[in-house]
Amino acid sequence: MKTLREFIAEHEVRRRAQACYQCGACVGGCPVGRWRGDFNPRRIMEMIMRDELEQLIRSEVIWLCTACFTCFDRCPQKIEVTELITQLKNAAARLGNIPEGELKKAGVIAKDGWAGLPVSRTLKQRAELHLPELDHDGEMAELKKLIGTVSRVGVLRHERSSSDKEEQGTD
Amino acid sequence: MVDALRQPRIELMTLTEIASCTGYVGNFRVTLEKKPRFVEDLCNACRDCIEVCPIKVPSEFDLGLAPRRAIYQPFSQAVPSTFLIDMESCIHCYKCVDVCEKHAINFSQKLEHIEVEVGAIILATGFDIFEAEALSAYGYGRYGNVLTSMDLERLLDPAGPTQGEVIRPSDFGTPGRIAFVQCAGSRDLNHNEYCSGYCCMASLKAAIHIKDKYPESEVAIFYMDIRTPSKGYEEFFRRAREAGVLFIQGKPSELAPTASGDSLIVYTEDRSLGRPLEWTADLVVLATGAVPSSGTEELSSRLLVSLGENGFFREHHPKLRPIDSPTEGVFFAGAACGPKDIPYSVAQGSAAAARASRVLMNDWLVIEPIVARADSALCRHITKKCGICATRCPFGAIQVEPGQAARITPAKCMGCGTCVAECPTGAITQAHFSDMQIFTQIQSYLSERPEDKILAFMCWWCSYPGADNAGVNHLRYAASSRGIRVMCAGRIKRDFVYEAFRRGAGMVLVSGCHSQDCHYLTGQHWAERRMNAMPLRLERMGISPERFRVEWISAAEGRKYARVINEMDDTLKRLGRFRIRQENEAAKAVLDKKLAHVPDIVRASCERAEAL
Repeated sequence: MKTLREFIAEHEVRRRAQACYQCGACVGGCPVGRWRGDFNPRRIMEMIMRDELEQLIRSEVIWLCTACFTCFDRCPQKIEVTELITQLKNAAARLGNIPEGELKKAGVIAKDGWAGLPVSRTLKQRAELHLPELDHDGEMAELKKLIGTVSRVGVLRHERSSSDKEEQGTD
Repeated sequence: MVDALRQPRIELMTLTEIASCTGYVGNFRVTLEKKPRFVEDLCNACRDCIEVCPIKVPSEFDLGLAPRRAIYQPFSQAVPSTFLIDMESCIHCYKCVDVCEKHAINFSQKLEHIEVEVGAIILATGFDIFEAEALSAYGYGRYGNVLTSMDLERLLDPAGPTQGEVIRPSDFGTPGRIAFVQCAGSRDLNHNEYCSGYCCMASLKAAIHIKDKYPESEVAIFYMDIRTPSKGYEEFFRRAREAGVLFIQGKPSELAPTASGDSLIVYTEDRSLGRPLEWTADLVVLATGAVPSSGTEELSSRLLVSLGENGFFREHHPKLRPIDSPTEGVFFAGAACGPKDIPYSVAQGSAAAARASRVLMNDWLVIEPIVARADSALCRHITKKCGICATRCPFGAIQVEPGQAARITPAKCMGCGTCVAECPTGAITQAHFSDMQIFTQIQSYLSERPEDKILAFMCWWCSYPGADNAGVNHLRYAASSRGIRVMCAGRIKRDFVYEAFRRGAGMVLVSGCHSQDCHYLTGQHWAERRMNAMPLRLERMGISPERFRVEWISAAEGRKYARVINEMDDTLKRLGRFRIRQENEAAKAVLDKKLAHVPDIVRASCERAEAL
């Protein structure tokens, strides 16, 4: 398995962050940062530039990014902030560093196709807005197919369990 | 401007544009297009016509914040003070004609073409303001209470549309909280990459002015860096802080209207505290930077003066010749070649006048004797469409017209030799750097034990002084190198490299300035393009590509020069004399064929040198 350094080097994460001049435009527009003061894309870029990668990978903060791309849109230096944070998440996942909550969320999506099943209030609102009825089973079949081809959920599970085994000393 | 108008030896031609320009330094022939004013110089600016004119259109000078009439004076200090009529909005009611006591109004004025002969041209075309509508997240034009610094400047002017009162456009009230957003469109790869330089000082000035006039108001400047490098500027920054202006470091990401709709929320990060900040402002001022003035591109093609990457005019050399254009006899003043503040523009104006007078004072122009000459008998352009030389010349010294041989104006030629190297028929030669001279030098350097030699082609301004720097600093490098100095890397033909290998050279180095430092603007670029495919070509002939190297070495990089030569010497030794000789022997037939077009006179010169 690749080390963190190798993964970061392969995706040129540091090089792609280096032109950042720390203006904070990403922070001002970030919808997550507005509610969670500990999520600060500028600081994440700064930490990448300062090579504090282990700390980033271990922190749960990177998982707060919703990948809305507002930061990339606003960045005056065209730094691919969202993309770089995604790479950090990928690196963390490869190293089995996924927060329990994220893993649970992924599991729910894999099982139900949705992050959360619609509650009765949602269904009522949909009816009021004349939206079509939800076809859960039909959508599910398609989603399962999609998940089977693109999702990393299965891989995550596998890597997680294999790294657990390694820790226990059994192969 | 008024002084210029009064000075008898200055002829001021307003509403006039350059239509075309021919000739060269000392002998420019410029055709001017003088647009009609429809008002004769008799006008004494009494304003009677303005009173009767029924048309109101937004005033350009007041940025649409106030109206003007169809007959108008752009602004009260305009030079000349003569009024003019804007024919696009005039409805030809002729009320102004009736009321004018001086009978100055003349609707029959026509566009005039005037031809003048001048010795030098100074371009002082200024700049335009970046159009803030492009910054969609800031909503200029969409949110009424977002202004640009130029809009604010009009409001702060005691003679302006509000008599100097700062008002909110939405309700004409006095704003209590004012936010300045710095670098609006500047230092931004999505808009203008450069720093406009003056916006920091402009915002500081406006902020102090507002604090002075409205002490109760709260003024915040959102900035990335405050740049105050000139004399007295940093002190002015302190004055702003002392006046109570709030400085918040962080580039605002977006502006959004408040729930009531009148005010705006500035969404940014307060970098000093490292947390997001929402600052409510009654009025937001975008510190918009400078962009090239609208006619720059057209003017550049009419005058054959090249533009730089940002669309401003390009200086001959950014450090050493900042006033001169690459076209001899054309100079710059002010923001024509990049954003500038007032003191810098004034200094540059004086410098440009002095540079121009140097041309005008003399009956003769002394040029370097290294100019290029085209042999009309050999020029391909007579029969085929070629014109490569003209596209390579960064100084506009070469004219090509269909069916005629290329014509080089010696007064414009700077002597880089790029056209000489690029000419497909060898019709162009450069005095003192002719093929004959360079081939003979190659022959001389490689007359003995050529396989032990590194033949280095170096440019005049960077890599040769770089080698010199290595010597002056007593750096050790292999004694196997032999240098041939040309004016610019752009002069180095592929044939020189082939000839060197044909003569059995061990290694060949092509060197020149770094691309941004090229003393002939684009010579290095063409050299690099030419040499890019060289290793592959050599490899096909059986010559190891590591025997050929291209390096860009500046005049200060003696250490790099020594390193490159030493590395090349190591390669030379590693490959060994035997292998080099073998490779050269194998490639000889192909090289002979490649160089078959070299004129006999060049070969004869080499033979004469050989005989010596």
